[in-house]
Order: sequence, then C-alpha cells, then structure tokens
Amino acid sequence: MRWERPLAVLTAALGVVLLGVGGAILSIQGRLTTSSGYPLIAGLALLIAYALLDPRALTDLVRSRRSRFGTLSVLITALVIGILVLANVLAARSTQSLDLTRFRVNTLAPQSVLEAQSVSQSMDMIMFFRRSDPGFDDTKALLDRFASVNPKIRVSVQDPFVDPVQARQFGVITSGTVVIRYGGKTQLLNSGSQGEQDVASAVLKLESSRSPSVCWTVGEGERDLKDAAQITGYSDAAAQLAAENFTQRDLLLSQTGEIGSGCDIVVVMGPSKPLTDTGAKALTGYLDAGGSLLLALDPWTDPAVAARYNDLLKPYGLTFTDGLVVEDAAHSADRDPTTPAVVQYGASPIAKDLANRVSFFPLASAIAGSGAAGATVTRVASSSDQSYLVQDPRQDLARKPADQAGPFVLMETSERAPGGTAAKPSRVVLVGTASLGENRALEFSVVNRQLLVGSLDWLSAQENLIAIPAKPNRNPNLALTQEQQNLNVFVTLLLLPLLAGVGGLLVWARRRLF
Amino acid sequence: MKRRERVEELEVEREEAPTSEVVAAPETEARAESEATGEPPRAGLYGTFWRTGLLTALAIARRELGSYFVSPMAWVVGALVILPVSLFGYLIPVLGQQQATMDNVFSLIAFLYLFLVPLYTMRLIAEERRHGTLEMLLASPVRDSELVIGKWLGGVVFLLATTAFTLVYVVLFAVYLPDKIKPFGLSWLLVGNLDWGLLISGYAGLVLAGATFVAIGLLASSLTQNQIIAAVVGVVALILIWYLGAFAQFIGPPYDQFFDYVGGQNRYQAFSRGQIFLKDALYFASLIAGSLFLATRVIESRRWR
Repeated sequence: MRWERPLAVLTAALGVVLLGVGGAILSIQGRLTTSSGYPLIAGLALLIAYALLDPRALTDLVRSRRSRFGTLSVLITALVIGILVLANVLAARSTQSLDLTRFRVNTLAPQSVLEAQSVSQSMDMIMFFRRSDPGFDDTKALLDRFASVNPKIRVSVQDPFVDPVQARQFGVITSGTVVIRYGGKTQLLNSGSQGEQDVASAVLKLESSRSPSVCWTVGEGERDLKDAAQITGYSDAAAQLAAENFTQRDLLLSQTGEIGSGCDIVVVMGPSKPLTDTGAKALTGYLDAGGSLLLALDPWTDPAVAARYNDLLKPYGLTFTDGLVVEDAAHSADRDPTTPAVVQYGASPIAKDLANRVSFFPLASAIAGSGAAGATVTRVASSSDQSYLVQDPRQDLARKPADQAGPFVLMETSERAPGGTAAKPSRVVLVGTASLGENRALEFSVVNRQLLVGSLDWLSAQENLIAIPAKPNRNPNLALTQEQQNLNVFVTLLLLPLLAGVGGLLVWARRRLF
Repeated sequence: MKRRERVEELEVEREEAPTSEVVAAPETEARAESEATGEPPRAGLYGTFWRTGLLTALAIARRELGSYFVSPMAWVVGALVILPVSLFGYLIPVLGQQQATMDNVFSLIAFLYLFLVPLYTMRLIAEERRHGTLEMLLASPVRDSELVIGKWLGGVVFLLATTAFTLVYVVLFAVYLPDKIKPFGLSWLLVGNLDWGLLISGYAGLVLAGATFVAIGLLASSLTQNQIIAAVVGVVALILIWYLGAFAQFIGPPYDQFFDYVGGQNRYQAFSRGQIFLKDALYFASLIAGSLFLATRVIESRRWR
C-alpha cells in the first residue's frame, strides 16, 4: 500500500502533462489528429488510473478542508492560465500592428501588398539562415510582412547546416539565402538581394506562368551544363537555373538555320572553335529580331574565334580584346594575379545590390568599345586601376612597359533599340571569362551566382518587374568630428559610470556615517 | 495625519527591514478598521481608488524602491552595466557606422536583464520567508495580490531607473542632429532630428520586457526561501523563455510556429524596429499577469497547506 500513493500522484501528474501536451498540439493544428488525440486519450486514461489507484484521494477532495482549498486553487489557476493561453493563441493569428517609424519603414508598399494579396495557392518562404547571420532579423521581418497580408504565405527558418541535403535540393549553397516555393516553382534570393522589391518581384515571377527558356549552345567547345567536374564543370549553374525557374535546352548552333522565339535567351559560354557561317547567320537573325545573348569568351583564344564573335557584336559597339587581365596581389583572389577579385561595379541592374561585395573573374579578358549608335552600353564589373593587360600569350606575367594599364571592363551589357521587324530591344551581356559561372566560382562566391542569374534575369526582361521606391534608412547618418567622438567617449564611458559610482559611495557613506 | 508621518519615518529608518514591518500604512489600518466594523471607510473617487488596493501596493512599491536605492551594491552594479552598454551598445556601433542607432543598446540591455533582474528580484519574497516575516504579512490586512503587485512595481521602477542612463545617448543624438520645429505656430524650438516613434517603440519594448523579467523573477523568489536558488531559477527560466524561439529552426512545421511565437526574443525584436504588434504586447502582458498571478497563488497556498 505504501507505494500506491506515490504511484497514483505520479500517474496523475503524468496524466495532466499529457492532457496539456495534447491540448497544445490541438490548438496548434486546429483540428483533432492522431498526434493530439493519443496524448489526450493517454492523459485521460492516466487520470482514471489515478482514481482507481487512490480512490481515497477523490473522497478527500470533498471532505478535507485542505484538499478542497487546494483543488479550488488549482482549478482557478488552471482557468486563469487557460484564459491567458487562449488569448495568446488568438493573438498569434492576428497581424495588427502599429508602425511608429517616421518613414513607415515597416509598412509594405501598396504594390507589394497587391502582389501578396494575389497569391492564390500556398506559398512557402523558406529562410536558409542561421540566426547569427547578418540581416536575419530584417529579412525575417520583411517576409513576415508579406505573410501578414495573405495567410497563404508561410515563412519558416531552416538552418542549412542542420539539413544540408535539403538546402542543396533547393540550390542553396550558403547560409543567408531565401527560397520562395510556389506551385512547384522556386525562386532564390541571395544575400544582398532580399529587399522588398526583390521579394515582390520574385512573387510576381512565380505567379506568372512564364518560365524563360535558356538555349545553351553546344558543338563549338563551349562549357557544358551537364559537366559535373569539380572545378570547370557547369552543373551547379544548371541547378541554379532550374531553381530560378529557367528552362534549359541545348542548341547546336552550327546546324541551326534559325533560332526561333522558343529561345528567350541564347548562351554561348566559352567557345573554343570559330563560329560557323550557319551559326553566325542564325545568331545575327535572332539578335536582329530582338533576341538576347549571353556571350563569354576566354582570353588568348584562337584569334579567329574572337574575330567571328566581334563581327557579331559590331551593331552593339563592343569587342573582346582577347588579352589576359592581370591584377596586383591586393586585388586578386588567393594571390593569383590571373583571378581578379572585383569590387567595382557599374550602374547596371545586374549589379544593383553588389556594392563592396567581391566577385571573381578567373582568367578574364577585357571588353572594349563605347557602344554603337542606337545601343546603350552599361558597365557591370571592372578590374582595379592596378591591373594591366597582357595582350599576347607569354609565360612571364610580370608587368612590362608595353602592357596596357587598367582598369578594364570585365563584364558589360548593351541594349540595342528595336529596329526593322524587331518589336523589342535586343540585349547582350558580355563576360570576359567563361569561368564566371563554373562550379568552383559558384561554390565560393554568392556574388558570381548573382551575376549569372542577374544576367539571365536582365536578358529575359525580368530585372525590374516591380518598381518600389527605396525607403530611407531607419537610422539617420551622423558625421561626428574627432572632437565630438572624444566627447562621446568621455560622457558615456567615463562620466556616466563615474556618476553611478559616486552615487554608490554617497549611499555607503550615509549608511556608515549617519 | 501624525500617524501617517510616523509610519513614513519608520519606513525611512527601516529601509532594510522586510516589508512586513512597514505594512501598517494608514490605508491598510483603515481597511482593517472598516472590515472590523463592516462599514465602508471612504467615499467618492478616493474611496474607489482605495478599495482597489492600489494605494497599499504603491506603499509597498515605494518601500521596496527605497530599499534598492540605499544599497551601494545596486549603484555599483549600475555602474558596471553602463560600461558594456556604452562601449558595445553605443560607442562601437555609432562611431563605427556613423549612424544614430539605439538598436544595439536595446538588445544588449535586454540581454543583460536576463542575468541582472533575477539578482535584483531574488530577495523580494524569499527574504520575507527567510526572516519568517511572510507569516506576519499573511496575517496583516494586506492582500496577497497587493503584496505581489507592490513588490513587482518597486522592482520595475528600479529597473527603469537603472536604464534611465540610456537617455543620455538620445540627448547626444539630438545634439548632433539638431532640427528646428515650430509647435502650434509658436516660436522656433530646437529639438533633435530623430525618429522619435522608433525610439518610443524601442523603449516600450524595453519596459515590457523588463516588467516581464521582474514578474518572472518575483515568481522564482516566491517559490523558495533561498535567494541563491531563486536567482538561479529566475535566470534559467528567463533564458529558456527568451531563447525558446531558437528551437523553431530545428523543428518542422507546424510545431515550429509554436516555438517561434513563445520565444521572448522573437516577440521583442519588432519593438526595436519601430513596430508594435498586438500579439507581442499581449505576449508580454500575459507573462506579467500569469507570473504575478502564480506568485500570488504560491503565497496564498501557505494559508491552506
């Protein structure tokens, strides 16, 4: 009999806990399921077992004064806690808020609200973040704002290091990436491109039925999307394009008489053989009809290769110089002077979020030309003023007097106004290296990834689907002089603690002396 | 009137003494008298206010506040808090980024509260128990709820007083970012060109979080007569509640939403961004009300246990 009472108490406690757990699951899920039903049934069974194990406890509840008070107290406590929990359950679903900031920086622009409201199916915004990542709080708050407009939008946070396989499935390679999933399609937002306009544009892209088609040329020694080689392969780029909702197909340029409207973008990534006449004719016709081309050429290629493509680019006023850009140690990756580490970007929308961020251009050639009549040229990325150009192949890359001094344009865009039968402008993106999007570069640099995807977005005219004016910074800028900075240090680091210390001394003296 | 003055003198003289020795405030005595005679003691607005017990709670709060400030240790701890907040919360971000930001100040103070508040509150009820004066209190005409609310109010006001030094940062910002305004068409007034809404929201979050921490610390103090245990329980409870939201990223839907909501830090962040959500305010209010209610029940349980 001695063991029955403690066992009964343990049973009752366990029963109450299980009832609580079941109730909590029920309130989260909003309906009775097996995961909430089992704890509820088990909790109830344990309470019945308690009554059977210690029937006197039940009679005591009515007879003993102590038990009556205790039971009443527990019931009142449970009631009050229950009311508070219920109030929170209801409040958790509310999105009512008060934005007290002067410029309403916590309020979505009307365009974003409309975009979020138009989401008709379940949309997942998954943050592959660690909580310590920079920008976590702001990004989470922004996505929560979208979710607050439409209950179909759901925001969740996942640590990419806890489940790297899932992160990889979405094409996420670094922590700090947002994946938006909608109707079997996805959009990736890398760090630096997670503002309100970026999210609203991504939502718009996902909602539209359009999946821009990328025609990847093969047959002239170009980089292959199926190549999974760890360094020079392009399989990561293929995964990234799929994750960004681009459809891909191969294009055998040498045997294609005409590139139809089925290709939104044509990519020629590092050809090593000269363009055939058929291919040149097909590309020219495609661009004249308002087509879009991403062309990357490595330095020191066969002069005939560069010449054929430069002919193609004449209407845009740009040429590949075919020389190798060499950087000094301060502006190169891993002290390899043939891999410029770029931090200088132009006004192109492709580079709009890349200020002060580093991208790599291994074995890059320079792009020259200021644009032809009717074409608008915009610089994307350039080397530093310490760089120089080695025009012809040589073993010793040390700077020589004949080498042309930098900076050099490594990536550039040109847009040609519609003419003739073209109904839309023709766009080209030129890159001085085919290594920009290779597996090694994408693995180490999110910025390279953004340049590749941003180029395809621009070429498919998806770069600015929604224009939302930028909101001013939440915290105003200061311009403190050295004297003012010293005063700040004095007041906050010396005067304030000193005053508190003196206060303590006075109190101590008062207690001891008076 | 003379009796009231005498009581106040006693309060000043015995600031270190437990609350039970000073609860003979006029309000409580008058209540005892009224309860004995069965007649309403006061009429009008004052009577209504008096019957709520707020006056008794305020008297207890005033006494608690006094006992905090006569302790040199509180001032020393205050000085030690100012140093990290000034260095890491103000100087490094402001001088480094050249931006008038209080974000780091608010987050750092909330973090320090997790450890400091239980140290401030550990003695609130536990000391009464250790001195054996809680029984005297229970026998006096002070309601349990008045005692709990009074001690909580005292703790909250003290906490806010120790945080008041951060207003110096705001003053410095206002000096460096001057702006002229003309209120109601009157003469020009020189104020700071700051986002006052953002600051008000940040301080509102700090007040709510601080009040919540004090309430939880008070609950921990009511559970034991050992102040060290009360402090440890308080710190562990606060850390758990504050960082519970971090579990959300390890748990799949729909349970991650539960952890995301109950994490105190998640509920606090919007305040420092200048946004006050109904659910955030209600979350902190619920924790305060729940903790104070439970503390009252714990004290009350001594009557029938």
